[in-house]
Amino acid sequence: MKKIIFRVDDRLIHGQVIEGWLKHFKINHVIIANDKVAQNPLQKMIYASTLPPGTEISILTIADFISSFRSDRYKKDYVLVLLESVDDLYAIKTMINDDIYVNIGCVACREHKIEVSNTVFLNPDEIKKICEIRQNHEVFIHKVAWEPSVEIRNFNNILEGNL
Amino acid sequence: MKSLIVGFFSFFYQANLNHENMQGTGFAYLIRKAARLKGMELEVKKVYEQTSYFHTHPYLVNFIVGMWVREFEQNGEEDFHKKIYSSAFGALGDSFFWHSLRPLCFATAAIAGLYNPFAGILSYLLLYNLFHLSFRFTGFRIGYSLGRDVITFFNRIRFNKWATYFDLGSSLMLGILLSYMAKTSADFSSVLIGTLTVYIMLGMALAKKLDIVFGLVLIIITTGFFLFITGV
Repeated sequence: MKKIIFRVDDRLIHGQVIEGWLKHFKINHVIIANDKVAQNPLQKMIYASTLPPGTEISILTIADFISSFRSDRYKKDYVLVLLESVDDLYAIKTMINDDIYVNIGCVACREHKIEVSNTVFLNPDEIKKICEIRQNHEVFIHKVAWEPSVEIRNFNNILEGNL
Repeated sequence: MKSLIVGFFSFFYQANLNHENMQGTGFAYLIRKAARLKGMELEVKKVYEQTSYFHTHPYLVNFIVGMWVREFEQNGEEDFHKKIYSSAFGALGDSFFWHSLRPLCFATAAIAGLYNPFAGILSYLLLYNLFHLSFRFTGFRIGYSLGRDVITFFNRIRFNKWATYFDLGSSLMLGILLSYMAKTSADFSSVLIGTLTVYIMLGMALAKKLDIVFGLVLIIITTGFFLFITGV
């Protein structure tokens, strides 16, 4: 597994993230890149309290994350970057390179969303954004590490209702 | 008393688990019951809103129910904090209950099963439910008294470290079990010890990965039966 994982998960830190990614790959640094969470002290404390001992957590705004990531600050770590939405992933798409594993983990069912997997529900706008990212990089749907990942090669099929 | 009642109703909480709203229906059911216990009748619209996507650890849901009722009473941000706590308690609960407590209970049961297979099953159920029921039946009271600061309770008891401690305990118990079996085997054979080790590792893997307690009990019974017929 690559040293850096970008994961879209609207629940951010939860059981599958801790057991299915952190402990499985012995990840030692979790970054939550989210503007709202970064400005809420209680939310920051709650997420920090859920991590196993020895795991570092950074909770940053998207802008701060971009600048700190470019400075190679996390070069020595195994890093899991958690993003709340496909929009957040799209906002940092220029940072994605071949050393990064991009993973859509959990996006809850809401109105007007299409079921892509049993944990991922996307609206047409989100699918279009992933299509754009997919032009240069692989994007996987991967719930937990020990389950097989799915790389959807053509999201347009979903938009056309062919999947 | 109210905490016990909410704890009882929470046994039915996962009855409508599904991929679309996960435990949302169960949460709406619990909220309605809990609010009534506190003398409030929620509007139908408010209850319906709670059927939206919600997923957390089922043993810790009562902490969120208590927090929600308290925040609702005080015109706080109950739905905002519900979302945060659902994922946080999912993380804490899954690590501890599914991935650490179950293996420890299994190792304990395997040791007790050497004495008597039924003692093995009994010790498993007692140890597991000691933690499970304690959290289930006290959750509402603690959640209600601390409100949105309910995380402080988990910080006070250092709950995020329990999984590590229990994993160490499981390893210790497994070592004791294997040493005991090697020492007491009537006619020591590497095949016997190897087979038992595979059984135990299989049980540990099941305990760590599966949500089906029945599968674990099955392994304990099989292991106990194997020990019995081989005369270990």
